[in-house]
Amino acid sequence: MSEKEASAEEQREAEALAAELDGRTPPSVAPADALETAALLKAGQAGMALSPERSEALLEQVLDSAPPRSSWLGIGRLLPMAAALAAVVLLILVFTGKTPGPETVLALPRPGPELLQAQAAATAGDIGKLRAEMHSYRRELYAALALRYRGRP
Amino acid sequence: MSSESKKPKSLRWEKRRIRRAGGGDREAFADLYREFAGPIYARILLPRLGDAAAAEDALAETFRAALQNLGQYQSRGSSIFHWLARIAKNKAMDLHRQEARSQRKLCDFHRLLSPLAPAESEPEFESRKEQDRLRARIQTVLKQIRPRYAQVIELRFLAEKTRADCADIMAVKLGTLDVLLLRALRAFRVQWQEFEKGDPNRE
Repeated sequence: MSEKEASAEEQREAEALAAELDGRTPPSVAPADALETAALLKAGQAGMALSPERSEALLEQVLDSAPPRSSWLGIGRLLPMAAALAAVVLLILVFTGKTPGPETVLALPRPGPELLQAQAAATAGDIGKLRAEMHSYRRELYAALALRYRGRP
Repeated sequence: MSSESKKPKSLRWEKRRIRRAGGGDREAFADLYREFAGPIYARILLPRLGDAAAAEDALAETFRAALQNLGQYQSRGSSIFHWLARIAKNKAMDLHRQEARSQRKLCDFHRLLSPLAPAESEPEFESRKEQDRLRARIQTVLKQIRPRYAQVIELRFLAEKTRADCADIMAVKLGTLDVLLLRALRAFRVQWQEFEKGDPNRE
């Protein structure tokens, strides 16, 4: 054989490579070029494909470790729908005029001079006239309320 | 994942599954995984990590990240394979950075494979065909190096003999065998790279 003598450096590299290939702790850093070539040869022999069984096992691992996204996505989809629904309800209320705004505040009937005179007379002891005037004023008041809140309890 | 060649799925098929998977449909995600895990493992991860266990870890990490970030994915008219390949390359780099801590020796040999591999842009995966091509190329290169180097490589890597068995068969001491193997691997690498340069079938 015409192999030339190995240098000390080459012997050290050869020992480290042998240890690495055997899965032992190498005494020094193994040469990367030889390790890469060995990995290429191993891949050529063992095959580059992942077995279907390993592949399915890994898929299970991935799915098991994933956070449950569906519930969050469900909420995410419901939120815009709820907002849209609320906007529609608001628009209906505004346009049907069912909500009392400042312009629809009820103006109560003002008491007339007769009622004020009857109140003055009542302070002097004549209460009969005040009762009659109050009766008439209450009727006006109830009529105004009935007109504004017609049909509502 | 089949080792047989299979027809690539259409972008429409992908889009439908991506949308459903983004909505939490596990079956749709499983469909995407079964379509792309094979090529990601064989073309991206194993050549960059040189170790099946590390490549499997990285594959799981890749698809875990894909599942979490699927909502951000935008197809832009190309296959999701490219997006997955980018994640996988980053995962492989992460593992290389962690190598010292994990004490797992990782060998990036993807550059040696790159002239042989089909274009990465092709998600179509024909593992048997690709494997046959790799084996044929190894055999061709072995014929071009010194017979003694080819013998030690065949015994150690193809016949998977132990170091001691190889030394017995070759009638050398263990130390001599180690040196022989180192020289054989270096000679193989040089020839492999020469062969790639002069390969008339190179893509």
